[in-house]
Amino acid sequence: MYLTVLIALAFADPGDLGSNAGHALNGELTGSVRARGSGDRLPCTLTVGDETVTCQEDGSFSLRLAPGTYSVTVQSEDFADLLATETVVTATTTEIVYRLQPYSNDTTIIVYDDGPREYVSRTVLSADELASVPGSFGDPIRAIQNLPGVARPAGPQGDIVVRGAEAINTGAYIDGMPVPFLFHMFVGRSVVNPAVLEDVEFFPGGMPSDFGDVTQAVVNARTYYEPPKQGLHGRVNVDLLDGGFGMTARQGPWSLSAGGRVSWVSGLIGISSQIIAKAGSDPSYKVGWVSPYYSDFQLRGTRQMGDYQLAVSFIGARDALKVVPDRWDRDGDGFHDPNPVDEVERPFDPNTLLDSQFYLGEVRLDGKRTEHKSTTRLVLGWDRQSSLFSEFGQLSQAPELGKVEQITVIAERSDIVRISDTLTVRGGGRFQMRPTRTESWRDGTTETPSVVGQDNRLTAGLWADAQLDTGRWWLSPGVRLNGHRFSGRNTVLPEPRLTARYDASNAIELTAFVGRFSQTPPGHRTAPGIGNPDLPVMQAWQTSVGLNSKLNNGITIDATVFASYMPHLTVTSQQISLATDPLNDFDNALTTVVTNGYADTRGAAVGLEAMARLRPQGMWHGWVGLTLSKSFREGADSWYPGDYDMPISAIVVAARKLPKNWQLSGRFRMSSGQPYTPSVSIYSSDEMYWNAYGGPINSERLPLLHSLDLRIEKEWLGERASWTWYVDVMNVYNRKNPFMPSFNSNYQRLTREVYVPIIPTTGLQVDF
Amino acid sequence: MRALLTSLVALSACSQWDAPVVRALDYRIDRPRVVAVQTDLEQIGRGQSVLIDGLILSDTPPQSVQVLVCGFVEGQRTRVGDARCFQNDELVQQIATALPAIWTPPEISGDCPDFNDAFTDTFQPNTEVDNTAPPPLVRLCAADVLLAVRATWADGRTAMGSTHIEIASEDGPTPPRELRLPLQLRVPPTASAGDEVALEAVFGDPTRSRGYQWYVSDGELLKTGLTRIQRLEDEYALTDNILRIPDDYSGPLTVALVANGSYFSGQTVWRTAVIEVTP
Repeated sequence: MYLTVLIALAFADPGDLGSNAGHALNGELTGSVRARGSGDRLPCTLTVGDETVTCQEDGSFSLRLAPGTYSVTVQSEDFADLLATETVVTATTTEIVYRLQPYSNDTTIIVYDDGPREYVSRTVLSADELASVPGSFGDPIRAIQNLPGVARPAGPQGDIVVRGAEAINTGAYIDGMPVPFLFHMFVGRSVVNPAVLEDVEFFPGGMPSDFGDVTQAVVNARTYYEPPKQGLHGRVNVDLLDGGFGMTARQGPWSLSAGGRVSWVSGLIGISSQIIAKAGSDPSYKVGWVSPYYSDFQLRGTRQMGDYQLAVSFIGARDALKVVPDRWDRDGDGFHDPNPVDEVERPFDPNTLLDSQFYLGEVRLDGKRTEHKSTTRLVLGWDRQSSLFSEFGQLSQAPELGKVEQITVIAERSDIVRISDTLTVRGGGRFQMRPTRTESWRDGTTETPSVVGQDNRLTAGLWADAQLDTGRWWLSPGVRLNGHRFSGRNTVLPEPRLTARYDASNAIELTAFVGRFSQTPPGHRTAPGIGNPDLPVMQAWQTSVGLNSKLNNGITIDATVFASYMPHLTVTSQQISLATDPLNDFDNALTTVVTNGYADTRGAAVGLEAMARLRPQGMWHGWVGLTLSKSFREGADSWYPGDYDMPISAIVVAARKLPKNWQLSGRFRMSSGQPYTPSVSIYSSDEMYWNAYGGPINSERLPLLHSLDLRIEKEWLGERASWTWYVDVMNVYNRKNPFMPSFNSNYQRLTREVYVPIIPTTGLQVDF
Repeated sequence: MRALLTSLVALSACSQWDAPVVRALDYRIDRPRVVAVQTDLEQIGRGQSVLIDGLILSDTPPQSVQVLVCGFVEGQRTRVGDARCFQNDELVQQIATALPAIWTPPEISGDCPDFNDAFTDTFQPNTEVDNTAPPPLVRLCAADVLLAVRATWADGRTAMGSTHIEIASEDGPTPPRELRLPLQLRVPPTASAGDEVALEAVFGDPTRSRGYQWYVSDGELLKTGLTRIQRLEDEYALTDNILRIPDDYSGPLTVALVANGSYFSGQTVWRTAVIEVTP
């Protein structure tokens, strides 16, 4: 390891340094250089002026300098620069410990894809290094929203949308295990504690053949199977929203990682609501409130056994939106009256508006021989999503006013065999069984669900591909055979995929991809009774060409042109019909019934994604991203913009290191407003009231979205731990970006009542 | 709980909280509007015809007018109050292309629940009154559908207004509603730019109106566009307003007044007038 510490003379002429060395009036600067976090002592070299001084083997150094103030620059090819200002006092010894940050564990912003090059569209985001992206609240997975072509959908659900596709078309994985959601609702933090997160693998499209049952994109959060450091290390994080911890330990062949988080924002909302209510209302009134609750945990034990690694993992997360109803003391007896809502027997808790949870256990055996790598895994899981929201707050993973429960069993085996220096062959298979039970709660007046659906869903995939590396050319033809069974029907689809890369020069490479994908629609969308059992398997063809270039000054520029065609997509639909309303029978007279259902349609998307980024090798880091795209869906009469069609989207992320371990970072986003369906206003004479119905689908757009997020953090380096305090402010200038349309009473004007306001938070993070 | 959900949905979808304010301030004829729809019958009996009219306010005449009914199914009782009915073209029938229009709906089914049976569980027979008399208005055996007037302009703009109409399976018990209710709109025929002119309306039956909606093609209504009955004189109810004409206005200035009926005794009438404004 090569390390250089540069001490630049600020006031004194470097030429004077030598003559001052050993002078009786000089001061002494002594100390050591250590790796941040681990505290490991690092051998180093000191360069003073024109002279280079090598540190001792244990990282210690000692310099005699003339009195004055010096700017200190610490550099290393493996460590981030460290700048410091030191004051040397006459006849005084100043002792200091420099703790250097490895690039792979930096708190700066970094996006890199220098890992395995077998994919042309993959981006790997280093977990720790992305944690300081403002607006992400220290959550690295959430930071992928800052990549071109990525957005979060409207509403409360914790999903991301990629290239205009609905969230269900992006597969969420943790270590290759499919999970129903990767982000907590509302707050938007990921369900994986950053302390146990190694990196985030993101495919906006063009997934290789080992990824199946997905039609647009993949986000795979990868946690530590083998922690990078011996001994015990961890992180504790506390802020206004939640508190969490994470730890990794490695001792000999054994490893353990664990993490967890629990929110307390609901308690803060409750307390503040009561304080506000008591200050301004009748004392007989006890205020109610709505608040989110979330938690997650991760636990893994790993054993190295020669060329094999055995791991047992458990992960889980829960997300809920709960209501504490308000209470009155109407009878004046000094006690708040019971809520009659609670006394009605229902198949659901009326005070839990949303509830999503999943729990997964995995046993995994990895073979790690260089010529033959393999993964064998068995996964058993259970998940449940329920919603009391109607069509306006619909979740992508849960039925409207209902519940979906699934048991997941996955058996998977994959092999990578290196045949020669130029040829590698991969193959594998995955069998996934998901018994699914759904309930509709649309009739909320009965003790039992109004509709119950059950479906035994199976997905099986076999894949194989070859990777041919001829130097300049890298080709990977592959095929996946995917079988889907749901609603009592079987569908088998071959999915050919071809990936190519050509190194035009040392600085420029060209990439291309074409392939087919298929995906089983979510369980509640095909469940009998509440979904549409006739829905076919979702299918997509994707193609892309890209250019990646590296400039000499640390700037990289990537651009991708993509196009996709989806012959079958599952979309939400609304049917207005005349039928007997179960809630208002009207003595068997027909009335209008609005049925929010699901339909099969076609879709297409085309676009350009470009990103220029400056890697963290100086004081500034960041990137600029631009997306131009169009996403269409086929309607009854014509094609219309998809729900997440955003023709223009731009983002600027920048971070600046400041002296004394301060760091300031910012993010500015701007994108086209989301499409929405306008309301046609009808004035009712006899009611003196306006009514409305939906006009042409997605024919209007919400206003231009833009917002600025800022984050500042300060780090204190202790002997065995580092402390980081941060302030993260989302939507600094409180831009009213409506995330769903709302109208004034005559439906003539779009209002901005539903938006995310300025959200400041602060917290403390301890790494040891 | 349902109220909470409803409020959440209302928050996310639309807002009617500002309806009175909007009604009061949104009085300018600055866009095409259908501000009133009236019928001469509260309930259409078997074989009866209904006269439908509407007040369309715009700077230019519409290119086309449609009178629509939504949710009406021949031979079947329906009760439709949801405007989203018009979202499904299959549920919408065009019954006229001009105003006023006359419509004779086909008969609905006579297979209706017996009035007394339907309410047996709710009301105990009153032995102190004569139960041998025929039941009153048989609301249970009527279809309640939406009537709408949709006007379309050459540039693609549209405007819609609606009302409810009941279609009974039996002979209509209601005599035709009097459309020519005594509503007078007293407006000076001429005025000068910058004037503040008094507007007054006299309505024949104060108990049957719940609001006066004023509309003007320009200027400012100092009492807003929504007024109530302000005083009673004998059997008449009076309301007034003050129109401030812009200083730079000249030419005809339209004033319209709609006396809205209530949902239960819907009598919507209107009057329009023109003030010739000189510079």
